[in-house]
Amino acid sequence: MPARGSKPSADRASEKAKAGTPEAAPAITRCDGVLFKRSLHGSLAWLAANRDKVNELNVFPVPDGDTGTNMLLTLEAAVDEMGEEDNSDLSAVAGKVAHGALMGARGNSGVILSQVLRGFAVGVGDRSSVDCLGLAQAFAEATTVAYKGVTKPTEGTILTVARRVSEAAAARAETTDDIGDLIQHVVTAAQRAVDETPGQLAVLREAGVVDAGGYGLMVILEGFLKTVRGQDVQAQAAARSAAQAARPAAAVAATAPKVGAHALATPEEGWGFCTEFLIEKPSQPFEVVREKLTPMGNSAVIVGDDSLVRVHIHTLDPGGLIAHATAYGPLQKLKVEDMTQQHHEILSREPVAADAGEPASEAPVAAASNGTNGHAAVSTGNVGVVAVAVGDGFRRIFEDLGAGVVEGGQTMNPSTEDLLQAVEAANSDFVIILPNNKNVIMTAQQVGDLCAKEVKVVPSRTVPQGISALLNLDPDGGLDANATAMTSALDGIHTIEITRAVRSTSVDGLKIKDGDVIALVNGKIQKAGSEHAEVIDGAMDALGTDGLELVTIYAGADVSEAEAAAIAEHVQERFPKLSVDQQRGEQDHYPYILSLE
Amino acid sequence: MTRLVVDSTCDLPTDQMDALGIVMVPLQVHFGDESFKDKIEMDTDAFFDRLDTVTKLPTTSQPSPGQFIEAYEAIPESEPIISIHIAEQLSGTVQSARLAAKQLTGRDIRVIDSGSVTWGAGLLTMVAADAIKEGLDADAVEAAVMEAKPRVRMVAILDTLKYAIMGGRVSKVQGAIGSMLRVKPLMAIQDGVITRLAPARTWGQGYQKAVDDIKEHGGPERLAVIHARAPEAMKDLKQILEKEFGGEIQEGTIGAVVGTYAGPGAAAVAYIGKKAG
Repeated sequence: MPARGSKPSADRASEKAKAGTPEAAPAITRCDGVLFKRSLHGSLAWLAANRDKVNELNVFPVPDGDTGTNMLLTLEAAVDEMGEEDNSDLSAVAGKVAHGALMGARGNSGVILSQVLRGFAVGVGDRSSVDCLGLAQAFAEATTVAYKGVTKPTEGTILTVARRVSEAAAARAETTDDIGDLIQHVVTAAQRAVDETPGQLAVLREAGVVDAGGYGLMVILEGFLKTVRGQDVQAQAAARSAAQAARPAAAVAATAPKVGAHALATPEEGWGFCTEFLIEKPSQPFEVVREKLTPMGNSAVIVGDDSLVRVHIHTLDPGGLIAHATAYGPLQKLKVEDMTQQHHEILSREPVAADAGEPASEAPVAAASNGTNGHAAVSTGNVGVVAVAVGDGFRRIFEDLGAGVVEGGQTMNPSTEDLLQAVEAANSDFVIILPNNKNVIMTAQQVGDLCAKEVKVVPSRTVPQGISALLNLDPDGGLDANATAMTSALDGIHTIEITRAVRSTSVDGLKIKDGDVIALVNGKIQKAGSEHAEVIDGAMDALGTDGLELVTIYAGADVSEAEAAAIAEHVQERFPKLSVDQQRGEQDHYPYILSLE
Repeated sequence: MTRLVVDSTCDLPTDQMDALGIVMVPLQVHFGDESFKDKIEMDTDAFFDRLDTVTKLPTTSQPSPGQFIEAYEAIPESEPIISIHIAEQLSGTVQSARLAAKQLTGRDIRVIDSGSVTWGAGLLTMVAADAIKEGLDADAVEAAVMEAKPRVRMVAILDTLKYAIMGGRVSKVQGAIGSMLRVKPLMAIQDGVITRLAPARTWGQGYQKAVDDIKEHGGPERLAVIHARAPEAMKDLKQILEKEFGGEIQEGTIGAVVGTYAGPGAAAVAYIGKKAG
C-alpha cells in the first residue's frame, strides 16, 4: 500500500478518496480492456486540465511551448480510436490505442508517447487482461520501444521517466497483486523522475524548469491512477482547469513552470497560500535571495537578477515568508491567495466547473481540424514535396515553389496523419517532407512506415532552411538524389528568428527579461534587447556576415508593410554589402524571420 | 588543310578566329525595323547598351543559305570544310548551312549541329581547330568533333528569367515557379536540350552548382567562363573553377543572340565534360 508521503495528486479530494481505499474497495488485480479504456479517458482528462502547465515548461522563453498540446492531441487520437463501445479484450484495446496514437502523433513528445503506447501494446501481446506482473511487462516493453524510437536517447527527458516507471512497476509487481498499488508506485516514481530531470539536463536546470515531456507522461499516469482509484477525474480536471483560468495571465506565464511540477509532487502540505511579489533592487544578490526563500514553501519559482527578483511560492505561512522577504527590500505587487479556499469554492461549483472543463478537452479537437487541411503536394516532375508551414506568406512561397503545404509549425505541430494525408494526396509516388521545425521532424519520419509511397524526410529545422532545400529540388532528379542534395542545402542557410520572451530567464549566461525582444540564431538564443532593429543587428553581428550575400527578411503577420520596409532599410544601411530581399511570411509569434546565405 | 566555318553565336573572339583561319557567318539582330549583322555591324557592348533602352526585345534571324554559300565559296575548293553551328533547337542557322552545302555539289562540306551555343559551340570548334593543328585529315577532325559533341555542356546563372520568357525560350508557367522570391535561375544546355536547374539565391550558390555540375560530368576536358554584363561574377566564377579544377580556363562574353534570352547580369560556364552523363 502507498506510503504516506508519496501521494500522487495535489488536491484534497484525492486525499480523502485515497485514505480509505485499500479497505473500502476490493483491490483490482487484473487490468482488462474496459479498465484500460476508462483509465486512459482519465489520463486524457487530466492531461487536458494540465495542458497549459506542460506547455509552459519550455526551455526557451519563446511563445511556442506546445509539448502539452502535442501530447494531448496525440493521446486524444489514441483515446478516440478506442471508440464508444467497451471491449474487455485488453490486447484489442491496446492495439487500437497504439494505432490511434501513431496516426495522431504530433511533435517530438507526441511521437515518443505514441511509441510508449505502441510498446505497451506489444508488451500486452495477445492477453485479454493482465495482472500486476503483466502490467509491469507492458511498461517495460513501452520503455524499450520508446528508447528505440529515438536516435540519440537523452536522459532527463520523457524517456527517463518512462524507464523509471517501468523499473518501479517491475519492482512493485514482485510484492503486490493490487493494480492500484502498482500504479501508485509508478506515479511516485514518475514524480521523482520528473523532479530529477533538471539534475540530468543542464538546459532544464538553467531555465529553471522540469522536462515537459516527462511531466506530461507523469500527468497521464496520474490520470490513470485516479481512475483506478475510483476518483472522478473529469470533475477534478474541471476544477483544475477552472483554477488555472482564475490565475492572472501574467502570473501564468511568469510562474507556471514549477507550479505544476511541485504542486503535484508534494501535495502533503495542501494548497496553502499562493504568494507572489517582486523585490526591486534587493539588498542581497539574486542568488542569495533565491537560496534563502526557496525552502520557505513549495513550488518556488524565483526568477530575475540583481536588480529585480520575482518570487512565487506556495506556503502555509505567508506571514512568515513576507516578514523574511522584507529583509531584502520592500515588496511590490504583493499577492496572497488562499488556494485551499479557492479550491473549495471551485469544487462547490462543481456542475459549472464540470462544464467549464469540457472545453479543455473539446478545444483541441477544433484546433486539430484546423491543423489537418493538408493541401495536395504539387508534383514537380518525379518527386513531390510536402512542406509544413505556418503563415499565409510562407504558404504562398512554398506553393509557388511547387510544394504542398500542411498548416503547422511553432504552435501547432501537424500530426502524423496530417502529413500522411498530404503525402498521399501528392501527385507522385515519391515524396519528400520538409518539416521546417525541429519538433516536426520525428513526426515526419513516421510517415514512411505508414504509406505505400516512398517518403524521405529532409530534416529542415527552420522555414528558411525548408525554402532553401526546396529551391534545390531537381525536377528531373530521383528521390534519393534530391533528398541528398536538399539535405546538403540545409547547411548553407543561417536563420535568425525574432520573437518576444514570455518569461524572465537566463540562457547560456544571457539574461532575458519577460517581454524582451530576443533573437534565436540558428536555434540558439543569442541576443536580447528592447528594439527589433537593435536585436537584429546584434544577432547578425553574432552570426557574422562575412561571405554572405543575401538576407531575406520574412515579416510576421503582426508587422505592417511600413514597419517591415523600415527594418529592411535599416538592415541594408547597416550591412551595405548584403542584398536585402523583403518578403512576407505572415507567421505568428515571430515578427521577423531572417534567412542569411 | 581542313577549314572551319562557324556562325556569330559561337562568341569566339575575332582575333582568335582570325589566327586559326576560321570563317564566321553573322546572324542578323533586329531592333524594331533596324537590322544589324551580329558582331560585324554591332558589337556585344553596343548590343547590351541598346538592350537596356528598349521595351520590346530584339529578335534575331538566321543567316540566309546565300550567306553560307558566299562563305564556303570564299574558301579554296581544294580545302574540305567543317561547319559548326548553333543547336538546331535554338536557331535555323544550321538549316541554312545544310542547304548551302547541298547546293555546292562537289565540295567537301560537313555541317555539324553543335547541340550548344555561344562558348559551348566555341569549345567544340576549338576541338576541331586543335585536331587540324595536329595534322588530322577531315574525317578524323569530324570524328573528334562528333565524339566530343555529346559532352559539351553549359550552365548559365541568370539574373532573371524575364528575357528567356519574353524570348519564348521558357514557358510562362515554368518561369512563374519560384518567382516570389528573389532567385537566380540556372539553365543548362546539352545536346540541344535546355533544362532548368534548381535556382540559386546568391552568386556563391550559383558558382557552387556550376562546380557540382562539372564534377557530375567527370570534370572538365575544356573549360570557359563567359558573361553578359557581369564581368565580376565571371572573374569570381573563374577563380573558384581554377581552385577546383586547375588547368586553362578561357574567358569570353555572351553575344547578342544568346544575350537576348539570358539578359544582362548572367554568368556561365561552358565545358566539355570527361563523361557525357
